[in-house]
Amino acid sequence: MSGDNAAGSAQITLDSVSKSFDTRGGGRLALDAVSFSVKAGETATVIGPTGCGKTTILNMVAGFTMPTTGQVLVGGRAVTEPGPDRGFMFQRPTLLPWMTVFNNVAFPCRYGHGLGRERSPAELAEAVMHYLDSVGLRDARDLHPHEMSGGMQSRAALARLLIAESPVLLMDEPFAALDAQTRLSMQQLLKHVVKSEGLRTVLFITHDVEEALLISDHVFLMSASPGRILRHVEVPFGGREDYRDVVLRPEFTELKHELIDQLERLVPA
Amino acid sequence: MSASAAAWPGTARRFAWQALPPLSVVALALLVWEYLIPLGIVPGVRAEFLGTPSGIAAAAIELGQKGYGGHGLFDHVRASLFRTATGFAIAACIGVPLGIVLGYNKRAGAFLLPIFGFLRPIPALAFIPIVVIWFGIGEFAKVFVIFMTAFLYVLLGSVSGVRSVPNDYFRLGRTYHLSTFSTLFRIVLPSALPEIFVSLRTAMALSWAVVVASELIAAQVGLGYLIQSASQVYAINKVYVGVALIGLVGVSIDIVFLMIERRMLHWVGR
Repeated sequence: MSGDNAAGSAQITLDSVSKSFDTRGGGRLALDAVSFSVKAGETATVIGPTGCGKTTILNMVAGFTMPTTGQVLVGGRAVTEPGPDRGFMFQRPTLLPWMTVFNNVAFPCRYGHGLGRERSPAELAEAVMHYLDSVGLRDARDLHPHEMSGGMQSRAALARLLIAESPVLLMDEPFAALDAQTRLSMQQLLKHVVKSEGLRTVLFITHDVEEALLISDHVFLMSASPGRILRHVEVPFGGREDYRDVVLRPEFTELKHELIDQLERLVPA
Repeated sequence: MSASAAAWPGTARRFAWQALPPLSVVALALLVWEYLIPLGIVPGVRAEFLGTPSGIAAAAIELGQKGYGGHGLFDHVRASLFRTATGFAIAACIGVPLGIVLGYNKRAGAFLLPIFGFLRPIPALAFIPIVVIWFGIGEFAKVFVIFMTAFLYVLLGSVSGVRSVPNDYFRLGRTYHLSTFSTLFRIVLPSALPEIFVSLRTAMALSWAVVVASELIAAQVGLGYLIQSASQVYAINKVYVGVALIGLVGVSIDIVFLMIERRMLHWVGR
């Protein structure tokens, strides 16, 4: 699969990005000179306390909102609007309830524009089944979202994210509402498909330290009001191995507790 | 007795036991109405103005056979239904698309919605004298009053339906560069449809109420005319039949709407 199609190289770069929101008492600085980059093909996670602006970062990379100062670059080009080169997975599955799973997954290709290549209906059906297969939903193609569990809805949303073959995947706490077991299997699934479906750059938002360490190559820890990057962790286990090999390592536990302690100090008691 | 009761299917027996007590209350009430009320036991109302069950049955048969005021009973129902359906259909055809546009395009909405929002709480009955001055008492005036009633309801219901489309649906559309057409027909309309449908049902019920009211004022045919005209000659049993018919048609319309709704909006409430 040629995941790296529309935008050439899909590096994400934030160059001293600040964002302030208008409030009644004037402006509130939400993000203060945030700079980092995610290389093409890497998975980076931003963690931080509620209100630190991590979702704002994701929204700016997606093009849903613009920085007040500074620049967001994807593939070397400044982000000015949303686009199919940056797929977005929402906090909730956000499947369209009037459509079957098959039609939900086909949605970006059937009605979208600028996806890089046109598919015939037969090719589209084949692609939908391929991605439904890769998330384990082959038999659920004709179900409606309300007929599925939360975990299945998440899988369907992941299949819809993957089918557009966007070089950049932006994920806003997509597994936060799932139970622990389902969340773990979704993390494994994400790691697996990102690795097997070609070069994808992933920017992931979570407040779950373990999730961040399990899926990413890089973790950025943020502080709140104003949001700043406090720490950059290069995850030594690469986020590429079976989670059982990772979670049993002493250095995993050590790093996890170190980050949790650091996060706890950031949250006013 | 007990042997035949045991032979009944369980559900039928349960139904009989559930239906028996309320039915006996109804039967008792009918007996009191038929035999005691004509003796003048209700203070303040002349006994013959209260009618009797047997009188109502006779009136129903007479209305069914001879009609009323030179029109068959079915002609009265049809006249009222036709006025309602015409006014309602025009209102829906204009109100739903306009509501979607005004809900979707905030700038256009800002121009018009405050005006419609001001007009909507005015009871449609208050418009009737104005409409009579404008258009007289013909068919057009009645259809127009129904149009006014249904239009404002359907329009504002559609606006509210569009405004309650989750923001993430729009973000999904923007991410994949959906055309305005696709956004409207693949996201906005289906998402707003449940609320639009509720407003259509409410508008239909209101229209049915308003058609009767407008026929009370001036009409030669229609269920409103029937009860108004019959009441002027104190034919109370015919009035009862007319009122019951109005209720029956109203309930039937609502059931039809519910059936369409369940079919079209299979995902709602699950």
